[in-house]
Amino acid sequence: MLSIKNLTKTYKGGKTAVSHLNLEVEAGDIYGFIGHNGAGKTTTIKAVVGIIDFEEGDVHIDGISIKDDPLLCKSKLAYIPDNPDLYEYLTGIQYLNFMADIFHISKADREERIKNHCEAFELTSSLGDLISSYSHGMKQKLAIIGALIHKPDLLILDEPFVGLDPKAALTLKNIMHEMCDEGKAIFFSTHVLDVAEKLCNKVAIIKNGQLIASGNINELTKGESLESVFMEVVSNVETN
Amino acid sequence: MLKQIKQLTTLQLCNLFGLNEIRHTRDKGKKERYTLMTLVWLLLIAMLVFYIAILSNAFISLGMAEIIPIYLYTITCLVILMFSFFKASGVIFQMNSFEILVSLPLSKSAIIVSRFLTMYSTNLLLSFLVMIPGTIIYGLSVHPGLLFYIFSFIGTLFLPLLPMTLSTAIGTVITAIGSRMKHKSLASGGMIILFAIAVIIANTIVSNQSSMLTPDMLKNIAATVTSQIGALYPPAIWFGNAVLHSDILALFALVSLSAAVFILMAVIIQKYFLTICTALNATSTKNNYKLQSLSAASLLKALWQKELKRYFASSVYISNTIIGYLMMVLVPVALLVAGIDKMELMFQCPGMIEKILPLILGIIAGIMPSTSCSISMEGKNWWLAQTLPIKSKTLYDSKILTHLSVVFPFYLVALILSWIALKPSLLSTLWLILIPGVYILFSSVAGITINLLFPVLVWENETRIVKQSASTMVTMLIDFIICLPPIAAVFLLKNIPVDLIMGITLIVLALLTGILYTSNNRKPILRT
Repeated sequence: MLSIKNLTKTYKGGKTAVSHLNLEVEAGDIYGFIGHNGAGKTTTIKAVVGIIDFEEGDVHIDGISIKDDPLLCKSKLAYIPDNPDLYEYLTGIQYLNFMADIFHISKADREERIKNHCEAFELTSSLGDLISSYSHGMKQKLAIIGALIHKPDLLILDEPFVGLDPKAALTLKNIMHEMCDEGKAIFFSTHVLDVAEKLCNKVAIIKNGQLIASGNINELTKGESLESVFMEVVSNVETN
Repeated sequence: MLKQIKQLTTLQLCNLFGLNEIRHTRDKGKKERYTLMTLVWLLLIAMLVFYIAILSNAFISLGMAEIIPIYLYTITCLVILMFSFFKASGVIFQMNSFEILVSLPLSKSAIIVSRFLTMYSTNLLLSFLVMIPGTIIYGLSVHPGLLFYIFSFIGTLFLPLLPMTLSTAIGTVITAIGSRMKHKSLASGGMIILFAIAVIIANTIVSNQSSMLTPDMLKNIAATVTSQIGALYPPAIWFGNAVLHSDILALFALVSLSAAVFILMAVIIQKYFLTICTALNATSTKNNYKLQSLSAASLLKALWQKELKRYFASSVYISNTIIGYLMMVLVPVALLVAGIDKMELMFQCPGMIEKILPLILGIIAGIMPSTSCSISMEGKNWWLAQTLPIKSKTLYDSKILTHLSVVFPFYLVALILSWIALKPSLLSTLWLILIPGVYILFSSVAGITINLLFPVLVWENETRIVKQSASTMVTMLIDFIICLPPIAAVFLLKNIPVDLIMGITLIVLALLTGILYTSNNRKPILRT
């Protein structure tokens, strides 16, 4: 579903944010992407979804290169940033309707999906208000609903659980499981190792722009906690 | 507290015009863009200084040297007034940074005073840019004493205070009233425009008194103009008296009034700061939405509707662009009211109005297109354009459509009124339709081109993007420059038929528009 090959991104000024990253996310995966602050998680994600350019490598979504056909790739994926800056001058329902128009969702489908997701996230009553009046968590929920409206094959999220209340976080986790059961894929970055451990079937650990461990979570942890594995792997890299 | 004020003001000023970013960024591309922007600003400043020098020399050659300080003082005050309207809510009453600062061991007064000082500093810069060239030209011509220069310097130091106070007060009241309305930005923008129209009409009434000039008054035109300016803005006369006649009482009155009004406003704002901030930043929520039937739209229509909402959600965006379109309508209104002959006499261009009106309307309509900052206005929302399956052509088309939707009603009214005023021939009617139309199209597309070259997607204050960004400045400059050749040709190349000049203008602009449009659409969505 998502294939990252030899991805390298160096910012102007010389900082190499990501170096020769290789990663595969298959259909049915909930793939956790973990690392310390400044490790390169957000840069990787932004390169995958087309926000930033990269010097080397390629990203394929469902076999299509993001460089060759970015529009087709973007129609298959949905991205939710860690701090979703939405169109504050729109109401919630206007934003969702706009997203549905972008993805050419039919009237009947959009009404049904908006109804279901907004009820699940308890956002229905606020849809008539301007997004500028929403709290951070409400904007997060709206961004999630907007991302799900076209039933993407690949959902990419950057720190999705920050700002969500416990009920909304549980709702999102359930949605992720449902998507994977349907053969879709989820790729998300997080600092919260507990969440990654319980939710993901695969993880990748990145440090200083380089992938230092990746694979099936059970094979990686071998019965230990993800936290201790993470600390050990990161320390080994520092020692080497 | 003085130390805190100094620290806070320095902090706010250190990134004036992006200086701190230029100093510390390692991004060579960014440095190059900033260098280019600096050159553009320097060019605009040079043009301003040149214009002031030419104007001052013109006054001297007409025997009206004593008008120079008064006129320049008034013009500077008006510019500060117009530019500072929205700075009040954006700079002085900005809550986000206030909340961060007030949690530190800083006095609230120091925070507020530092914001005023920041506004004052930028306005003072403008004041000096206008007053110094005029003062030098006057000095070289009239050879006044030392007191002239001393009083000019002191007067200029206090120049920004009154217009700043007035614009802060009016801008705050308008924003506060607008915040209570459903479409608050539209309401605020509308009130600003009404205010601007009132100023223009007042100025026109005052100027129209020249039609009632007697021969004696005409002999002493300088005094007549002085009294007209005095009717509009009395402090300018006090400044004039102070510098021209070394009238220390006039200087004292000017300084006292400016300082007193400013201090009074500062004290009121300090006392009611949080109340005013709350009123300005109030949002209402109903929290009672019930799902309704939704309608689907095409991609272009969806983007266009979103873009229109963006436009009407910003009062500074509305007022900055619509003022130009209003002027486009006011020109034929003036023709209808005053008559073509009188207008030609006033501007010393007999038989020319019918010929140049299409070009004049074109300049006015094209000078400030909304597209010139439409990409920058996306700001923090740009990630949506980058990650959604939207072609760059569709995105840019939606922005062009938005500009055209807003300008079209004004264009149509201006066209009808111009036709009624001029009763032109068939060919002249054609130019009246096509020339402003092609300028509008050109400016729409050029605005996108230039904004793609000078995008600013990280900003705190819309006013900076709409009024002060390199993109809007360069667009204005280019649109102005592109109008000059045909106007110059009409006036200077009298042996060339006007219809030929119009035809060439139409073809050249249409071609340029096509080239820029195609070029824009080939570029992918801007990556950050």
